[in-house]
Amino acid sequence: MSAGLIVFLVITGFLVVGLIGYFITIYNGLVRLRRNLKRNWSNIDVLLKQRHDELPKLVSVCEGYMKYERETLEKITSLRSTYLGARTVGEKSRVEGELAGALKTLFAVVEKYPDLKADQRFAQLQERISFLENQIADRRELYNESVNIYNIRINQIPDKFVASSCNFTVEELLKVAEAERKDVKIQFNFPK
Amino acid sequence: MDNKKTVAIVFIVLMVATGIAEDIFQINRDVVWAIIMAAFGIYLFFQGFVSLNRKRLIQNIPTSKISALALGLVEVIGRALRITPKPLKSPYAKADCVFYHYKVEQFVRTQRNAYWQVISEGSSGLPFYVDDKTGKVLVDPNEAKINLETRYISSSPDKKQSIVNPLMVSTRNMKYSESYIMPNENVYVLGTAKKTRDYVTEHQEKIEKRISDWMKNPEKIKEFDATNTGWLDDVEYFNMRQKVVVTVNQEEQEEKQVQVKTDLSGLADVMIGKGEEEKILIISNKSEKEIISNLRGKTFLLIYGGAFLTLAMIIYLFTKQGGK
Repeated sequence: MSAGLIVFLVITGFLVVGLIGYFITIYNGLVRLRRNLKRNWSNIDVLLKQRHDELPKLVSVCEGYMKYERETLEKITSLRSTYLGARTVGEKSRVEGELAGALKTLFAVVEKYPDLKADQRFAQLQERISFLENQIADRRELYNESVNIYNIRINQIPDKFVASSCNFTVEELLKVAEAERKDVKIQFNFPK
Repeated sequence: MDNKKTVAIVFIVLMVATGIAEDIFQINRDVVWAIIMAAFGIYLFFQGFVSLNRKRLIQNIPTSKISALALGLVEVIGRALRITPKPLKSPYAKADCVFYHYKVEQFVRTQRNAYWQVISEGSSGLPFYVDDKTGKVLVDPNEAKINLETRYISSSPDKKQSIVNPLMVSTRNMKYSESYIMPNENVYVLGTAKKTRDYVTEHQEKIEKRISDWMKNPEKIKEFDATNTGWLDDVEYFNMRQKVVVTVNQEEQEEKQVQVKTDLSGLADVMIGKGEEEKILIISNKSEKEIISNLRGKTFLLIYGGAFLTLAMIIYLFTKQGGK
C-alpha cells in the first residue's frame, strides 16, 4: 500500500468520524433543547397548579362581599375547570391568559369593596397569588427564551439538516392573551 | 484535576512502553514516539467534540432569574456575595474574596526535558451567594470547573502565612499562582439547582449514627447499664436513645446559633452545585460571550490540531520507512 493511499485513507477516516461526531453532537444538543422546553413548561405548570389551588379559596372569600361581581367570580371558576381539561401547551396557555385577565379585573374592582380589602384572608390570598403570578411571569420568560433558542437552532445551518431529518419541528412561543392586554375598566362610585 | 492525573498516568505508561519497545523489540525510539503522538492526536480530536458539546450546552441554556429558579440544570449570572461576616482572604495575594483557587508549582529539570510540576493545588471550598437583583442563591464550588483569570503569580510567597506547605524551606524554582472571585464581582454559574439536604432526614440520620456509635462504646454501655448485666435491656436502651436525642438537639441548637451568625439563610432552600445526572459545574468571572469564544477556539484547535498531528505523524512514519 502506497504512502499516498494511506494518507488519503487517514484523511477520509478523520472526515467520516468527524462528520459522525458532529452529527451526534448536534442531535444530542437538539434533544437536550427539546427536553429543556418540556421541563421549563412543567416548571410553569407546577406554579399554575399551586395558583389554581388558591382560586377556590379566593372565590369563597370574595363571594360574601362581592354580590355584584358574580360574573367575574363565575368566570374564574369556569376558566379553572377549563384549564384542568386542557391538554396541549397552546390550549393551556390561552386559558391561563384569560384566567390571569379575570384575576386582574377581580383585584382591580376590589377597590369598590373596602370590607373585602380589609379582610385578612383576602389580603393573604392576594399576596400569595401575586407572588405566584410573578414567578409564573419569570418562568414564562425563561420558557420563551428556550423556545427561541430551539427555534433558531433548528432553522440554522447545519442544525437544520439534522432537525429536518429527525423531525424536530418549530415550537410556539407563549403569547400574552388578549384578556391580559385589555385595560381594566374601573368604575368609581363617588358620592354625588 | 482528574483529567490531569489521567494524562500523567497515561504519560508514565507510555514512557515505560517506549522503553520496553526499544529494549525488547528493538524498535526505534522515534518510531515509537511517532505512534504515540499519532494516538495522542486522535485523543485530542475526540476531546474537541467534548469541548464542542460543552460550548453548545452553554449556548443552549437560557439564563434563569434566581427568584423563579427551578430545580435541574440552570445558568445564573449575578454578583458574588460572601456567606461569612468577615471577608475571606486568599492565601498568597491576601485579597478579599468570596472564593479562591491556588496552585503551587515547582520547576523540574530532567536529562531530557524541563517542566513545571504541580505540587499543591486547592480552593477555599466555601459556598458563596450569587445575587441577580431578583434574589440570591447559594453556590457550592466543590468539584467545579473553575474558569477564572489568574490574578496573582509569585515566586516568593509570604512563608509565615503560607497554608500550602508550612515545612517548605526553599522557594527557589517555585511558582505560586492564585485566582479568586472578589466580593460583588459578576460571575457566571452553570450547574444543577438542587434542594439542600432535608433537615428532618439529616436529624434522624444523625441520631441513628450516634446510637450506633454509643452501642459500640463500652463506657457508654456501662453508663446506661443500670442492672449491671453487661448489655442493655429495652428500658436501658430507651433511656440511652432519649439521651442521644437530647444531646443531638442541643448540638443542633448550638450549630444553628453559629449559622445565624454566618448568615446561612439561603441554605434552607436551593443550592447550585454539581449534579448527579448533569455532571457539569462551571464557575467563571468571565462573561458568557467570552466563555463561548474561548471554547470555540479550544474546539477548533483540538479537532483540527489533533487530526493534523496524527496525519503528520503518519506521514513521518512513512517517509522514515521509505527512506530506510
